[in-house]
Amino acid sequence: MKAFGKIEVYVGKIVQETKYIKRFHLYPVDRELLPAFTGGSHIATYVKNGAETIERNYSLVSHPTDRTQYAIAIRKDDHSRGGSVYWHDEIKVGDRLEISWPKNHFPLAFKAAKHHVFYAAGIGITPFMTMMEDLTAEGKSFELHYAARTKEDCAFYDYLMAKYPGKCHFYFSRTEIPKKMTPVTMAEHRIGSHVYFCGPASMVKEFREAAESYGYPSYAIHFELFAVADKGPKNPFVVKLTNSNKKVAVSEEETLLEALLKAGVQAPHSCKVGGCGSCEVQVMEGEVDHRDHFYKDGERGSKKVILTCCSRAKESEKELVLEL
Amino acid sequence: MYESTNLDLFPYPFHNIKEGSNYRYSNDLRKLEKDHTNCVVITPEYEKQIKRKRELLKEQPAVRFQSYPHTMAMQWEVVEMLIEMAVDRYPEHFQVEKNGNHWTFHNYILNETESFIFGDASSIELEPLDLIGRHFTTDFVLMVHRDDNLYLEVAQESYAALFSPHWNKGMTFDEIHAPVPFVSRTGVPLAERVRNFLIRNVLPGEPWTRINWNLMANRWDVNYETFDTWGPTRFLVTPENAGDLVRLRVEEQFFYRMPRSNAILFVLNTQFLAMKDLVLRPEWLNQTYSILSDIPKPMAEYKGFSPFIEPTVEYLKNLVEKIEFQTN
Repeated sequence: MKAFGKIEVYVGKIVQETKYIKRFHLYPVDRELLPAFTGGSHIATYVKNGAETIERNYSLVSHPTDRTQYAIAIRKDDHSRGGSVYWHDEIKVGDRLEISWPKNHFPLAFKAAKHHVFYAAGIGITPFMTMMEDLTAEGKSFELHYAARTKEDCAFYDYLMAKYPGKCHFYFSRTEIPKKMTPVTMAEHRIGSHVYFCGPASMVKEFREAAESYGYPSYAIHFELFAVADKGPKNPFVVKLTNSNKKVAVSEEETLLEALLKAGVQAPHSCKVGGCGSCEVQVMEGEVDHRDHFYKDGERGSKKVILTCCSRAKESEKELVLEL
Repeated sequence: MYESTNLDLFPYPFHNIKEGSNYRYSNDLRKLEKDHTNCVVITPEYEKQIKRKRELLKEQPAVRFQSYPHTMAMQWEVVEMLIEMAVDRYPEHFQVEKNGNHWTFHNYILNETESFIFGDASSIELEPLDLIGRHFTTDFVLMVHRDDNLYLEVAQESYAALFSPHWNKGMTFDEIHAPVPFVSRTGVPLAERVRNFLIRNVLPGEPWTRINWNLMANRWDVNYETFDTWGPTRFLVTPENAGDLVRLRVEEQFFYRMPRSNAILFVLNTQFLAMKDLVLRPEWLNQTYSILSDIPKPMAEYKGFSPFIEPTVEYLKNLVEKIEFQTN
């Protein structure tokens, strides 16, 4: 068992999983056992690049009870903020970095979950790798639907075929006979099924809306996104804090959470992409421009709250008053 | 649990309340600082406390320890964490030898040794948490996170305030706290808000804390199973005897997310201060008097001290006036 806080690890092995996906195996520097975790967990990775620290969250793909090492799989994305490019181009075997303890904002459902159905697009397969391990160990029922461009681009294809025969459905879009993964299969899952989506924002949106239209109860619909949904320009605004008696200005360059932390306010947070709810703060006054994908639509109106990692004031001129 | 003899160590619960302000429920959880995350504390009263704790567990075993059969792996995870904490902080008092899965835990204060096969509940007579919990003075409650709530699935509790593992086993966080008749300043039901905060923010590797308080009349613990004994005694408090009978009960709570079971371990360190001892810290006496005179009725009902809050406040009022008279 580790002391709490961050864990120091080194990269022990790098595997080229597909043309664009590498798997990194991380080992504890102090050779103590790492914490076991639950299916769907991720870690935050902190890589030093000169004076800058690149912080990124990646789902774990190693077995939840393997405490000797962790593995993560990263897809190189030239159009994102640069974390994946750095991992692919710069990280070598032997490099050291810090990681968080495994956290889980995408746990398996429990109550009345008779059958679990996973829909993965591309690198969205990663959280399902560990969920399927847990369900297998518990003898529970599940199936996987997994879309990639080709068999060669499909990470863990051979492993999944061998390990879960009859449970995996693959959809390859760039083959001679292209097959597209669509939400219609959800109409056929038996009553008591829970559905889980992971992939690009557009895919998750399409599947969520379809699941609702088929009559899935909201508690049976689960999803995880890797980035904040882009919802328009960032306006500058000011927040007033009632507990600490401070005023904090938020520029168009930063999030409310970043401004609060910079001002020395102990604002709670975790995922930083509007998905886990950890950074929720009560709003005493003012209108919020909600940009999270955490609350259900009805909740945004009835609860006076804001997720500081992504949401902002509706109007630049009117300050928000927060209980913080 | 112990009656505080060292006021410097007593976690006075109203430190953060401004002078002249009242006490109202709020979400008052704090993240533990990096060097203060270890919940194992050995005080000079350790041996006395352990003796008393074990007596209580022996007197009412079914009331004070409860679990479900499916929680064994969860309990072992807690055992590992508590042993590591004890050995890390007090290597002179605790030691563990690991020979594969064969573990031997030494408690040198009590001169006791526990040998077991880690992960094999048949290698010990008590359940894993019940066994290891008897080496620490705190109470332990394991709330398992399932969907959007926390469920009480294991608990060892010796110093409870209207609570027992026997009574509360299987309940959700909301059911245990029902009916908290309070809403936050923004109108959100408080139990729901605190439950969500625990679920979203108490993450593996990031423990949190808060301080809970209560008043107790001539008892160290109260649970529903013994209501017939202590219920009537609450009406015996008068402004004359409240100084001896009534104690400020403070519960330091620590919250740890267990990474494998996804449960939250509540570690509860309960301490008491008799009303008459408040006089040792006049600023505590003044503030406690001011806060207790302004406790809303529903809160006194919920905390279970409504039958004796009035004589207690009367006692404190007389004490405050007496001291003012002496200093003038």
